[in-house]
Amino acid sequence: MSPLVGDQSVERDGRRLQASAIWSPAVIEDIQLKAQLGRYRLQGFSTHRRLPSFDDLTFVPCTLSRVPLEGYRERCETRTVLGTRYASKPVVLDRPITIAGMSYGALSKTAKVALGKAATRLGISTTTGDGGMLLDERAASHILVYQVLPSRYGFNTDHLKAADAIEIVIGQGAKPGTGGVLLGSKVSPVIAEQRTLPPGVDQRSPARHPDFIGPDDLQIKIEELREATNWEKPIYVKLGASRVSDDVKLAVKAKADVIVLDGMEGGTGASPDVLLDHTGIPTLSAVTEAVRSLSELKALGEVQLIVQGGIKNGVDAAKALALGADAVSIGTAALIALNCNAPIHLDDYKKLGVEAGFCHHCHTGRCPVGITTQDPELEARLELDEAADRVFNFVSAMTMELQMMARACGKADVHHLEPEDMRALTLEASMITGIPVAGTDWVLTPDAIAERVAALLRRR
Amino acid sequence: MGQLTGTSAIDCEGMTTREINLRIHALIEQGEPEIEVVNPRARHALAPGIKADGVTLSFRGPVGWYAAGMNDGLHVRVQGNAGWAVAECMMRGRVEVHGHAGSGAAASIRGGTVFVEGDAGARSGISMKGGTLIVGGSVGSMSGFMLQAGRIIICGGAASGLGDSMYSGTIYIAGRVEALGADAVEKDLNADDEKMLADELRPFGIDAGSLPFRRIESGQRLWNFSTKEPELWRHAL
Repeated sequence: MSPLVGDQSVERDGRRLQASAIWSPAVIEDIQLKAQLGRYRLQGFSTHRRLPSFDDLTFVPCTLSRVPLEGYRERCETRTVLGTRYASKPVVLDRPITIAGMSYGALSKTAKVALGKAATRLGISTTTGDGGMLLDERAASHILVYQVLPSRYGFNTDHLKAADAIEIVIGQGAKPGTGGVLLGSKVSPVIAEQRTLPPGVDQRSPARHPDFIGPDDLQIKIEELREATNWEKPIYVKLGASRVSDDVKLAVKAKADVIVLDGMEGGTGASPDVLLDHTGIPTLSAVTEAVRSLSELKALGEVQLIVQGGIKNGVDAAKALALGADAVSIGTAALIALNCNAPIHLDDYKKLGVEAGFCHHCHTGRCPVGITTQDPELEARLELDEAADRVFNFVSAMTMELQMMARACGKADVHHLEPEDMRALTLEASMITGIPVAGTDWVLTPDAIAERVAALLRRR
Repeated sequence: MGQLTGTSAIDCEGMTTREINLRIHALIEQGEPEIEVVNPRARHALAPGIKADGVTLSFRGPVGWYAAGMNDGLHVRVQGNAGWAVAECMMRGRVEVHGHAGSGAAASIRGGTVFVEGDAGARSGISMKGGTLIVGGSVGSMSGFMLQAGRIIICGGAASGLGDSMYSGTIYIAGRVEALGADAVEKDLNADDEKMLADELRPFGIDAGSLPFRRIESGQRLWNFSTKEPELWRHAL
């Protein structure tokens, strides 16, 4: 991670050592590493910094003023339909959770297929990535979203047509405004062939698409993809959360069916650490901005919103839905369910200079648990069916948590959750979301302040 | 629709893009080997993603963006200019533009041949993964950017940034190059190159021997990061 300024005092042999708050040991290490590397630092996983998050909100379930649903008896619907705007065959999910796009290349084949198998049992979708469609992944996934990325690695018209939805990737939350990275250690002969690259190169994906640049172009691109697929498949547009208000409006104008919004907490197989920690905006902020834009365009419900980036449990999903999302997408959480950072093969974590629970070395290709690797020996450590079972169990648990929150708030459908079901626990979260801080009935948004001032003036 | 020249014809006048494309599909399914489309009037997204062999599709007039995008086997002829990204991501087949082409011609194609009789815009042949792009005139800036495989043959010149950051593949150019892109290097032709150029250009009535072609390929210095070349990497990343 890129080091951040903070208190760095430590105890050593009964003495307190006070490091400089600016030139902390982490900053010193960072400078000295770069002095050796001659370039920025790379890492996988996601940002390490504390951000405003869904944890800063709490539900205020039913008491006397609302009636909750009975958990054992009363059904709480989770069915989710995506792509109702133009597509003749919208995607129907059993629950509002999808598996985010992750490339075959960043991930092993076993990991991709395990995600597909789990998703099929769950009635949810999985997504290809920056390397094209793996045929085994297509076979394993009942609902598969095909990404159209700037690199077009492995792009194949047959695969596009074989998909259930198309996701045009404009950017990703971990590193908006930049392209992907796959270091040479992961560009094995198989991956190189799939991406049409020389084996072993440090692959850098372009940041821009080869055939369009701006939002007006995107609209024509979407038309082309619809024409090529008979207007059947929903077209998603994935945005790295950055200038969300405008980007969402432009995507709606470009006639997207679904907007996928990836917050700053989004994961990656490899990225410069400074991008992870210092670019983009948090998922909580992003979903709020996006819903506001959709609302202004009267497109809420017409254009569906999938939110991703740091979604770690069903409660996060419930809060995202309550803020206005139609579904959430999980990437890193799904990998952790597969076994990422599990306390096994401990010696191999040590070889990477980390421990289980602290590993973010996806970019090296030496994943101790066989997920983010192209090494056959390491990949063999991931047992396919067991891995798929773990993802199935995790997403099932997520769904239960999501329904638990909805029932407690008196909702017979998880999509009925709304901002009014929550209170903010921090002033920051309140300002971002427009939800009152617990214990108050007001917020510090510009509109609310203006309204309050106007009310005071009227009283005079 | 009417019989204009003995082939099955579609008159775009009064038709939506959807209707035109559906009609093209219907004629192909009926087994029509030659289809002529008149009055396309630079409409976008004409005939994308069609998979068919032994069919010639002719547009009489200019086409807009993404004409024959993702083509998979068709022989497409455009009698006029083409907008951005003609034949982008083509899998197989042949697309001829008997006019000029906009930016991103043959972007990211995997196979087949794209021929542009006139000039082609910026980023022509960007990130190609196979196939051949032939340009009778000149190309705009950053053409062949991040080229991965295949060949680009340019009979005229090129604006700056030709072959920038190309991983592999080959660019042949006869005219003046304003500036090569990062890590693109010029080499002399060999006998195989000369024969290939003659074979590729002959069908389009171009005598390769009369043009002073040079060969551009990747210097491979950007394949893996090196601290020994900080200036190169400063502009590459």
